Amino acid sequence: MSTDTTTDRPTREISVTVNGEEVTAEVEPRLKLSDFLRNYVDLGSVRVGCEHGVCGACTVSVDGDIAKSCLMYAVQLDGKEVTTVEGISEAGSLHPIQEAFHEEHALQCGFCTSGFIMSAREFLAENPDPTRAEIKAALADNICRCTGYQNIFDAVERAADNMEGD
Amino acid sequence: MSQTGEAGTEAEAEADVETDDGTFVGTGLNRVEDHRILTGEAEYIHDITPEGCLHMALLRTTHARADIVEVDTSGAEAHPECELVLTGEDVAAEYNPMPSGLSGIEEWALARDSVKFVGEPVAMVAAPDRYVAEDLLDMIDVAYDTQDPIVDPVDARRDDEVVHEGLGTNVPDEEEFVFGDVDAAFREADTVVENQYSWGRISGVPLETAGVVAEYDTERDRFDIDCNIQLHTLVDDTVYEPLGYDPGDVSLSVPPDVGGSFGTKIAIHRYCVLAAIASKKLDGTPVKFVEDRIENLQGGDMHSSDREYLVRLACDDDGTIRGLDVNFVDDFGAYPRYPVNQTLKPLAVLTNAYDIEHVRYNYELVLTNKTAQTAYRGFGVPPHLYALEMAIDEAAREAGIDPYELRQSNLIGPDQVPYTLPSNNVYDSGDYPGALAELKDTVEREERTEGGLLDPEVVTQQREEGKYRGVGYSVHIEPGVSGSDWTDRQRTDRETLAERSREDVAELPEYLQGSVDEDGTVVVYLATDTSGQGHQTILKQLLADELDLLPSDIEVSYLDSAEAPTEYGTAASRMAVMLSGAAQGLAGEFADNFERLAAAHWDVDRTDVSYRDGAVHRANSDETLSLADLAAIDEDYQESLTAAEYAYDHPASDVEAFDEAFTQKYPVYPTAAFAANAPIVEVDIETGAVEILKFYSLRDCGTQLNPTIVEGQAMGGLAQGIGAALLEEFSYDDSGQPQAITLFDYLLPSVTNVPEMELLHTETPSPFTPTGAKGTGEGGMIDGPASIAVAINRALEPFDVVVDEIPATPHRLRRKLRDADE
Amino acid sequence: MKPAAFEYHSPETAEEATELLADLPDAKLMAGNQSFGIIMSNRLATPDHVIDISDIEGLRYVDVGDDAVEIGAMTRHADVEHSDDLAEVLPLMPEAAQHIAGPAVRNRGTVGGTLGEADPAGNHSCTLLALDAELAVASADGERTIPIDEYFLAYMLTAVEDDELITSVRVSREAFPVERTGMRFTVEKRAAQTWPTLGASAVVRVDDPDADEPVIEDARLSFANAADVPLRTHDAEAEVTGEPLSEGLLESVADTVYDAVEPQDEMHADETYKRELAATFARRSLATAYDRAQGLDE
Ligand SMILES: Cc1cc2nc3c(=O)[nH]c(=O)nc-3n(C[C@H](O)[C@H](O)[C@H](O)COP(=O)(O)OP(=O)(O)OC[C@H]3O[C@@H](n4cnc5c(N)ncnc54)[C@H](O)[C@@H]3O)c2cc1C
Ligand code: FES
Ligand code: FES
Repeated sequence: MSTDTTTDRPTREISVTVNGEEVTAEVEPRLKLSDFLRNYVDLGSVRVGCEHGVCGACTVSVDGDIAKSCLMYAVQLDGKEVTTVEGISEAGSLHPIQEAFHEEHALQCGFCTSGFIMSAREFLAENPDPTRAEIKAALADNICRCTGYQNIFDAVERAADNMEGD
Repeated sequence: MSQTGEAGTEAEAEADVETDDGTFVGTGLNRVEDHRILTGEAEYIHDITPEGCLHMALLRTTHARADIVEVDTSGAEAHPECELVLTGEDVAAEYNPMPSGLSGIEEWALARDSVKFVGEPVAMVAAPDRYVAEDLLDMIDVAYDTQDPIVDPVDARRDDEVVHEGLGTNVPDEEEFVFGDVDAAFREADTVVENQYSWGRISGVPLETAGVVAEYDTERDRFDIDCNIQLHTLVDDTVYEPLGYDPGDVSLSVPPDVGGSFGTKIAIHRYCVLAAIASKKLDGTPVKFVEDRIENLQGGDMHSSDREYLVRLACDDDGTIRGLDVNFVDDFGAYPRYPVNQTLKPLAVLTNAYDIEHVRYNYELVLTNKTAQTAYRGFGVPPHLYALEMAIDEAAREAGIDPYELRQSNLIGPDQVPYTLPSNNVYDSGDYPGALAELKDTVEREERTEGGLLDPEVVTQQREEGKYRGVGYSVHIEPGVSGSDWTDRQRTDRETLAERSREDVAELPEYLQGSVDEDGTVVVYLATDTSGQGHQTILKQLLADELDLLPSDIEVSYLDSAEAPTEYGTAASRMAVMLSGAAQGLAGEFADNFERLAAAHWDVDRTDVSYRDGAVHRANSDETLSLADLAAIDEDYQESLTAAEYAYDHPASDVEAFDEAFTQKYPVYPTAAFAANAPIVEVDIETGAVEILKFYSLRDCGTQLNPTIVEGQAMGGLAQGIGAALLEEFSYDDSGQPQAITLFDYLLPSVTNVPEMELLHTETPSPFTPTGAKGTGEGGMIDGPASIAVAINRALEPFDVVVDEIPATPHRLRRKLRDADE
Repeated sequence: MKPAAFEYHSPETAEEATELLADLPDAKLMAGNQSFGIIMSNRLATPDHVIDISDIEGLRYVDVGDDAVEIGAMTRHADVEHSDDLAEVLPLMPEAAQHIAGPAVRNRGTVGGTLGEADPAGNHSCTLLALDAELAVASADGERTIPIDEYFLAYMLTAVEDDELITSVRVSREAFPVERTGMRFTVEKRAAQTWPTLGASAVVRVDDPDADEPVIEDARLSFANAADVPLRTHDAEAEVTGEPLSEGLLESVADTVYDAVEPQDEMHADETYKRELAATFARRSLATAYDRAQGLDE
């Protein structure tokens, strides 16, 4: 049990490159990266579905590798780069993965969608011509409660096709 | 405050692709909701954080049953960032208890004298952020006097100890229904099979938890509450009653994007009430609460049906089913909430697709020290179909008849529809034997051939490795478009019920209102909320067709609970049908108004003008008035003729066949979508693990308004069916401690659990509905579990195993196989 | 689910980390945070100081030498999964790594964190036990090594002291000549996101891979989630050693394993079920490992 009765809790100044822009902030070390991105940087695409690493809704890319932002603290990002869905395409246009999700009806309530897009993005960057089984394995950290996944697999396949030659 | 949440223009442009015959209904129109979600711009409840907003956290008990001796909040109050602490006594001093699904039970938003389930909130705090709020919880001390909890629902019926002292019993509701001559049917039948089946505590668990932002208006003494509650225009009483305010003073508005609900979010009023009270105590400072996942799983009032069945089936040697006798106990946890009538809905599909005349149906609603039930997709039907289909399989084994044949020979024939069930609901249309036969042909053709999953050689080979394959064929009815009048049967006095006449029946309509913008855009307001079903898209399709417009000419927004009339909304697979009717009605009103306005403007007779192709045309001239013109003219006339509203009545209201059901408050579900299913499963008999290799499903929901959305609903529903059948369960141990309080333990189906799904579609329009559409929001969850169990039974036929527990987890199947070995 | 307040430290070297451990009262190490983050969120852990060692580059390496393999404690599951060197000499480890959650968790979670947490179901704990690894542990006072069979003491309790840091694990290659050794990790996981119901690691070395029925020279068999600690079954190993693997032998090893494991009841896996599963996996993983030792893959 915490015995903290004061307000002078420790804080840290951090400087993080978020979607290409430098953000500096004074944060408590306990601040989760997910909360930092949502509440300090106003990046609504980062969804929070479980806060215990299971659902994948909070998936972002940290220095090029996907991570569940509910299991990282903002202080850990000092000097690092983070990318969220807001940073994967130019304003007003859609990334081919986003396009494909739309075309294949790969979202219903949409709460899982950002996480799937971030996972798919890293995966396709490493494996541009995947098999169905590889796609499934790559999305094992993300849960969707609405779609039954098939359309999501189809969307990633379609995105892979569309991105070929890019 | 109405919310639009409209998509960007990009999505708009592509939305205007019509079918060859020029309609939008029936196309797989891509959803207008997608763009904002894909780009992260969508606003869910957790995105709403007004300036200066405080955050609420709840202290929840870890005891299943205890008296509260003392709540010491002084530690929290001493904290400099503590803005508010409230206990059950504080709430009770000024407010009312929350409405109960049954009379005689008082439930408070915060526990007062005793706690009745693990996770029940006993105190609330408010602080500038959630982290600090949780710090405060650690500083509250509660002294309890603990007691042995009441955990087993079957034992609880003995009332040795009761959950609610004042009530005096743990069975506050039960009813026996006897249709036909059941005793005779059982007496005369060649054999009677009797078995017990168990359906675990399973629920929706949407990816987004419950959330609320409440703001009290000090000047007007009223509340604005943003929350992701489902059915906000129907269940708003669960919020305004505890607050003690009039409906008009508590406005609930639901963001245009909700991260799934599946029925579960109907019951999130506790949070709304507490946040509202907090905001009022804090002189109108907005207060926000988003449930965390552990709160959600252990004490979020969101578990659902948890049943023990005893089923008897009377069967002749030739396979004729003469009678059915269904008995079950449903564990509602500590408080019977809104969905008490989940115990009744199965009456709407009493015999599934079988023609059985003599049926007994008997339930007991039991209270225990567990978290309360809410609604979940299917609303009590999935366990019923599961238990019934298991009994059918046992009867087939007993009689030595192939289960496919036994099912076929007892199905309701196409010449029998519309078919009135013994329990008075009516199946509208469908050829069930035809569907089952067609599906079987397909599967046998595709799979029982070389290279197929059921290639006899492969099946034999796999068996040698201990992997048993099987395919099960079954057909299921999905009751759709619930009436509302019957839903309070359990709170209706039996004498009143007996004396009711058809005129006493009062249904809730589906309401739409709309107006024309300056630029000619038609803006329509839904009086319901949405959680991923694509209502904006479907309404655009419907209205575009009805008004001869393009979907991009139409914008869809939402009304809050104070603006909207009381109506039903998104539940019970109502929307496709109810929106169809409401859209037709609204379009009719619009056209009528447009014509009146144009006639007045041109000063001609009404018969000299007509609305078509998105404009009013003047007879014998080239003159037309576009919607934008009409909007401008309307400004001058001040008669609001470019606005319209329409309340669409329930489609069964004028179908005589439903009179008996309506009058006697039997569940009324006038559409019968159906599915013939054939999952192919493989059971590893050494580990008990079940793999679904492929899921064939032939589905029919009448006219499909949007096939893309229909298919999405089917696949999502089937995935939930798979979860229920194999993975999900909120178990409790003997001390009343919940065993699944994280997503490591409450197992949602993952990418590895859901197979490729082969969906086939037929369209048998409903004669009872405006577009011929049938309700189909719940399908796969209703028919998935039963059909998977049927397939497992088939695979494990050599061991005479029948799935008698859902979920059919590996250790449960192993237990059966082990017994079979010995 | 928000953690209690703590001070954050991010040492750049193992030495700095051990000094912090020595100096700070009530400090906890944080590796990939894929488990620690959850108990922090639940406030089951509320340390005053958190020492983040996940970015200590000096602790992140896979070093395959002629005699031994050494893996830095902060090597990520993904590093293990994708290491060609490990796939060549200790294929058990990448195979087990693949079964941990999905790519995002594997990008953060570490070998050292798995050992530090000592969950009886941990994949690496199970494999490293079979491989007879040795843990290198450092504190401000110096370094020591702990043989893995002396490491897991009781449920989530280990031989590492509060002021110590696991720096690496070392596996001697002597017992595992690539051309005569086969390895297999078998697991039941009910869904991708959850931990194993039960896992088994088997390692088999044969005398002559080209013989018709090669004799087993050395066998290792360990289990995840079959007791309150990761469990190695020496009796079962002895039973298969010195003979070619036959159906009969597999049956009797399975019986031995059934009795040797000491599993706990769980919600959807009771004790008997886990015993059966351990027995089944003993058979299956040994059979595959034996095949692999002969170069017959699957
Ligand atoms: C969704 C999900 C599924 C998972 N499934 C599996 C699975 O199937 N199998 C499996 O094995 N794991 C699984 N895990 C756990 C994962 O492997 C974790 O990464 C691992 O258990 C802990 O490693 P970590 O690096 O994250 O350590 P942390 O979580 O940071 O630390 C764990 C503990 O170890 C201590 N510690 C860390 N490093 C050291 C060190 N160098 N010396 C001493 N003590 C140390 C910490 O103080 C802490 O107490 C899963 C995790 C998630 C989120
Ligand atoms: S919110 Fe991070 S994984 Fe669920
Ligand atoms: S679309 Fe709702 S969770 Fe995936």
